[in-house]
Amino acid sequence: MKTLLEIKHVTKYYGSGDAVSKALNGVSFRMEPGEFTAVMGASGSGKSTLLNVIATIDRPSSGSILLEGTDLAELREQDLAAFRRDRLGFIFQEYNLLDTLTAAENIVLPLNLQGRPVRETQERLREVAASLEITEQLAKFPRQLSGGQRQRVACARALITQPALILADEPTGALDSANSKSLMQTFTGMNQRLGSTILMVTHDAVVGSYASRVLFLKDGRIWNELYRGGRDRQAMYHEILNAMAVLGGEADVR
Amino acid sequence: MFAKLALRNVRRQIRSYLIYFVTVALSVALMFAVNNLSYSDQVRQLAEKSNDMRTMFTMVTVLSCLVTALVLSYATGFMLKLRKKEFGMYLTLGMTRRNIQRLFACETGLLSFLALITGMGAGLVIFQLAVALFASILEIPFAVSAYSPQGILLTAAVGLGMFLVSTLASLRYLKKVTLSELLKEEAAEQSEKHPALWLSLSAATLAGLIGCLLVTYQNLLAAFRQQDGVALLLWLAIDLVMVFLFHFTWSRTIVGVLLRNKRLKNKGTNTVVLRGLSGKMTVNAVLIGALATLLVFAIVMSNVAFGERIYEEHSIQKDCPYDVMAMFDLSETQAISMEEGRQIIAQYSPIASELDFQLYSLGETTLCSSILGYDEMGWTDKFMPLSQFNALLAGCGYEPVTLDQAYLLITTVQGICDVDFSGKTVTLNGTPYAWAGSSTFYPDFARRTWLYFVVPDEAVAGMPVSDACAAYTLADRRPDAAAMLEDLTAVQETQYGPEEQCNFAIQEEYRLYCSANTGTLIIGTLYVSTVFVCMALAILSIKTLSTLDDERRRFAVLYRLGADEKMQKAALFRQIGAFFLMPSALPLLFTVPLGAVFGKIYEIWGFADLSGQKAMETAVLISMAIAGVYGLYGFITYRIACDHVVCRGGESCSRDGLRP
Repeated sequence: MKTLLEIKHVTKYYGSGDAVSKALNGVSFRMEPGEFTAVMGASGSGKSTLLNVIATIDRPSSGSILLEGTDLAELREQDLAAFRRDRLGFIFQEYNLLDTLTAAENIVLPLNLQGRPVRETQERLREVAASLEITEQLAKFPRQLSGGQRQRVACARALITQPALILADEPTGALDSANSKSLMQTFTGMNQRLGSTILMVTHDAVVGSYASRVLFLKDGRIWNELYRGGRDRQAMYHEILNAMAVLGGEADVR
Repeated sequence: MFAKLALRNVRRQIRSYLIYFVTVALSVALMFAVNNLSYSDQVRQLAEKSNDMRTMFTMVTVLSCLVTALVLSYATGFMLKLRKKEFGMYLTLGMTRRNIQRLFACETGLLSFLALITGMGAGLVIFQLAVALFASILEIPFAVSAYSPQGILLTAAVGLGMFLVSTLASLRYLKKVTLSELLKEEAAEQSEKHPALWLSLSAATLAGLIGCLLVTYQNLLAAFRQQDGVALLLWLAIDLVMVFLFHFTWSRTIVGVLLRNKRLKNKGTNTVVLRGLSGKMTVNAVLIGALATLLVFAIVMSNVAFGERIYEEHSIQKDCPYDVMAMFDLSETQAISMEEGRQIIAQYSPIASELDFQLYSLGETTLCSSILGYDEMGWTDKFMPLSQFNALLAGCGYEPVTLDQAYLLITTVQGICDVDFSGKTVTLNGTPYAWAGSSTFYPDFARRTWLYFVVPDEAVAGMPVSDACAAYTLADRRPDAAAMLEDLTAVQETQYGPEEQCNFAIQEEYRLYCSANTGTLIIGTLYVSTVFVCMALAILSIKTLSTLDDERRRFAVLYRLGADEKMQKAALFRQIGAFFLMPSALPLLFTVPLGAVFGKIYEIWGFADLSGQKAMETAVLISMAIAGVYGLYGFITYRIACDHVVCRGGESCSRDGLRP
């Protein structure tokens, strides 16, 4: 199978002179199409930095990131914008829906930016809204939705362009446990039914246990990784807890 | 402690306060200039012919102060609401309301004081520029004018008053508002309510506005023909109300209409732009209506002032085409004879040339009787021989007139010119003369009559002279007109008692009188217009800049979704451009009909050569000047917004944009 994402020796420095801090220190890993990977680690371990450099919001100090064989470092700013628009989907902790737009308008925004025709936009909106069960909420503004509904709208927005890779940054961070569970079932559905490739950053062992693979970051390096293999979610959860205990117990275990 | 905290807050909020500061400073500067003009002895000497100068300046100052005070109250209140969460936080942390009121008063006081000083500094320069403009209008050399202590004191007092008015309203709000109200989030989205109703109202106001403008136009023509302006003033006021209602309703409707167009909406960042505008326009509908009304007022007034200037330049040549003109009604006794008058004139300037001419009359009303009310006015048919009329025309550079057994009616009144004389013939010395036409085009040679008829010379042979007239050209074109006029004026006993009588008209005296009035009008109008335009711009800028933090979060999301810098800038440009354009587009478009209307008015006044083009040029120039200032303000606002909103990636975008 052709590799979807390949991270090679990526480092990222912040600051200069004596005040340099190394957020990422030679991180390397691969993701295959259809994989659901979680990145876990303590605060300051480099999780969000890793997500930002893959999302092309930040540039790595050294190393390379290849998505479907394209080296992102070689792309110009304009091409990077097109890359984010066409190949990536984003889901954030604070949903980051535009408060002035209705749910439907938020969802189709990436397609509008791509310049897709109205008919195609509306068809895809219907499909994605039906699969995430938010058809009833489409005319509402984000303020009129619950946290779980907002995050499902954000998922729909990430899915609608059928991106090669979905990046999720603490997607359950602002949700209660019931909504978190519902959202992770949605993620699992997106991964298993729709074949979406998902890279998710999380603190939460329960959330991490839904992934098929978990990478543990510590001080900007990959410290450990777990594969689900044939294990069920409960077993995966315990494995993650054990790994985090060894990691130093610094993670915010729930 | 409060002063230190206030200073720190002002520094921190410099972006929002900058526009407030510039607005106050500019208002003070303009007010300073006008107050000094109003009280300056030198300027009063320049404009001694214009008794209304101070009254006019006082009126425009009062009007502008009212508008400025309202705008500043609004701006202060707006900034207060913008920072209500911050004040709520202060209250939560244990500050008392009195503490917060003092802090806010300190901040606005500090800023207003700085703006007052800056404004008065700028006013020193603007005052001299205004004097230079005044001197240029009066066509006299410019000399630096002294500042008036009354003007300075009045400006300081009014500035203080405006600060008190705007601050007291805010302090009252801080006293009454509850903590929960302060901490409550404002709803960002604005769903449309009753869209069909608003669309109907918008269509109705559009139809109403067009209808009112048409009625006003008819009233305008009637007013200039019949010299009755009461109905016109009423309709002008109704037009302004309609402009307000039109903008108010369309602000609430137009974006909703555009959002219904799926093709338009689903293109690029259009949804973001339109939704952003939808909320802004709905919340600011009253404001947009008020700004549009102010702008229309400013544009119309500027056109009136400059139209008056154009009219004056031409009317002097038309009302008094020679340096001095004399006209003696031979049926009256004269305090100063024509010969005595000639000697007086020669004392002020040698007479370069003199053209004597006469009006003849049999005391009949064969032709005049066609004009309504001729008997009340006591008009009789008066005739001027063609050769004399052409000699007078030649002296003014006009082409000669030819008449073949016909008469030509000359008048300065459009209503008389419009009377149909076809079929009306007059028989003089046995020859019938038919109507050749009526005209307001020619200069007013017989300035004490409303109308006269030009006929071939043989028609007046043997007819008694009713009025003896003369036209003088002086060697010195700019004599001491005021003194000459005084010498040519004498007190004459009439049936109503003693009255001042002067049978002479001096062109230079006309020019000084008209220029002083027009100068006052132009400066007053420019002042009001500048204040209005600047206030409108200040509000639009404050409104735009105050939402930048929210916009930055939205644009950071757009960036992540793949909108590059160019796309974001285009979206921001459209959003700010449309918001600025909404209250200004129609007022600026008013230029075209306004130019046409002024063209028509010039035509009615008898300046056929002025009609159309000159009026249109003036109107377009005024609108371009306003649009230029407007564009500059808009562009600066856009640049500031670009710097704060457009997401270019990297740490700042992820930190400030998405992790507030």
